[in-house]
Amino acid sequence: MRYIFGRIVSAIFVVWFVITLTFMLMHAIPGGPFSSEKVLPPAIIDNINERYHLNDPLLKQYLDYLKNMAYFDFGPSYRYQGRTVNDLLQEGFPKTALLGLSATILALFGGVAMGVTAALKQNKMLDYVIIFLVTIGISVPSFVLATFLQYYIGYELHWFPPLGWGEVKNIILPVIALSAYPVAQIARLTRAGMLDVLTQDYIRTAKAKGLAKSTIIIRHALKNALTPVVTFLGPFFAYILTGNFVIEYVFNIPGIGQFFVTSISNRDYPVIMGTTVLFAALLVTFNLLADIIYTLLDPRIKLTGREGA
Amino acid sequence: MQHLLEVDNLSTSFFTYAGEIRAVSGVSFYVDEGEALGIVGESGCGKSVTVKSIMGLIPEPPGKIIKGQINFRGQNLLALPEKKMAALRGKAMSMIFQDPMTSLNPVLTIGQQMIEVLYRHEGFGKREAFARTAEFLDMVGISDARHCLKQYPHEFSGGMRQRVMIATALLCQPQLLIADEPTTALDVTIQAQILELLRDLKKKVNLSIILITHDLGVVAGFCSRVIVMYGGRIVESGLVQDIFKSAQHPYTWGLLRSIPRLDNTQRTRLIPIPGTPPDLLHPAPGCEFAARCPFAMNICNEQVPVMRQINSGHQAACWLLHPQAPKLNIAERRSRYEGTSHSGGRKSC
Repeated sequence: MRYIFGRIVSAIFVVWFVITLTFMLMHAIPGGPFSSEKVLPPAIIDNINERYHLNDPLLKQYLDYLKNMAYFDFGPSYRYQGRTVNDLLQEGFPKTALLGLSATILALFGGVAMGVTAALKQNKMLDYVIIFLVTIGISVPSFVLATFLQYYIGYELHWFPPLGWGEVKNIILPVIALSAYPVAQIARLTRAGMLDVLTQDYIRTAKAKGLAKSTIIIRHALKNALTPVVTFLGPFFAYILTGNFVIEYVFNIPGIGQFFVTSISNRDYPVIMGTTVLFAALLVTFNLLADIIYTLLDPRIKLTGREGA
Repeated sequence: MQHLLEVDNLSTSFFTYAGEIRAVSGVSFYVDEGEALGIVGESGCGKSVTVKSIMGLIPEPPGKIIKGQINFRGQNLLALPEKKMAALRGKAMSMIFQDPMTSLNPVLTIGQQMIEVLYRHEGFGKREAFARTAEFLDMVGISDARHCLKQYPHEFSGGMRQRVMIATALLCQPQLLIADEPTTALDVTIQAQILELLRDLKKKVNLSIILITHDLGVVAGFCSRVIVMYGGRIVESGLVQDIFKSAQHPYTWGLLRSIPRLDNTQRTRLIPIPGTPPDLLHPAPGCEFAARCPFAMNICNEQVPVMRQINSGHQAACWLLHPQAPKLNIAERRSRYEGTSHSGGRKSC
């Protein structure tokens, strides 16, 4: 428990650090939110800047931002008139979350199932087929796969709509494109883990006890084989979060990723900050989650935060 | 009388990229009810493969039982489908292994690993299974059973884990227990405790035991009959006293001479058997031991010796036992062994 509390404190620290860094970098980019507009009279620009406190010293802006952050107020959007960043996040996040969650579930279950199957059929046809798919999944970038799916499955075959959002059939292609890489990685790790575990002495013991094959595989082997998969969970969540940007862009899904990408070219400071903070917080949470899953899987790992304790 | 277990002309091979490895060729023996049989021999002589063949634990591929019969309670195990075989394993016959450190699953509690056997074979309810498990843990000398059941293997010492393995193996009250070098990985005092425990249990529950070891000293105190294996074959078998008092095979002589003796106060070196273990990938046309045998004759390199009866129950496979072979006396045996103890035997590639 103490360990988890410590981790939460350090997580808050990490998020703060991300805020600060993003804030600095954002202001370091030349140009401001309104400098790319068609030429406005300097007085008006000045007025706008005044309204959004952009004329304040940077330090004051930063402190004000932190203060508002503490109340989960991300401020107004400069680009989308009359809407706050909170509105935008609320609107976009469910879509992003649905996409990410579906991809996560598919990646975990699909990847583990493929890995176990490949391991049990080692060096047989099915194993080679899975290894082939895994190799494709790992080496083809998601945007290439996404475009490919859009063109062949969506445009040529009309199985699923190539673009858009709103219906169940809209989500199929983006989820496949997003999860292809993690499915492949998890399948690879599970296969390797299973092959290693299946030669262990305790599997022989389980056989000698006369247990059913399914019991041996699920209860005795899989739990041990998943340890390397859990190690991958941290990078995996990061991949899902960042992969979302690309996939949302390619499939024209109005999720947070869209806002994130456009906000940077628009210098829409509050939106940049809001989306970055959200993603940072999510990533930190998921990493903590992965560590906790570790201990659930393997009793020998104790989260004490101290070496050898 | 029908034997509890009867192995007849068993041959098991492993098919590797290098070729067929004949781990066991033509092994026959039996075990009676309540009897302890010892199988001795150096590493790689086929002891483990023999008992794994009995248990149906040969990984296939690369392993394969080429021929032979294994009758357990009158049933040919090799003809049984895997499902029926699994129902026998852990119930009618069970096995404990050499290394208790790796034989228990690290991510399951002791309780989970023991109780699952009872769920599987006896259809016990939770309470019943729990009571039986605690009783058996108590029997193998683990007193605080209730607490132990919730612990994980890494919280146990090697000796404790082997006790857990033994308790687990006996949970369903099997008729046959196969102990594959149960004490090799333990330190000496724990070894003695575990053997003592097995001896007690054998008396208590009328268990038949096959004890595999390369320690003849263990066999002397534990078993009534011994099988000596070399290069995948049985070279000699008989009652313990036959083997220790009047061994007939030169390999057995060599084994007996390499036991350290406590009563020998002089600091003499142990006498090893010179040479290297046989190469089962390229079996010799004759006796596998001929290359290391100080008494080898021409025929030893040409033909596999047949098993000869010495007296009831005692038999050996050696050309020296052929009526035409030269007779050796004890002194001659000794001098010949000493003469060869530094020269190498057949080179293996």
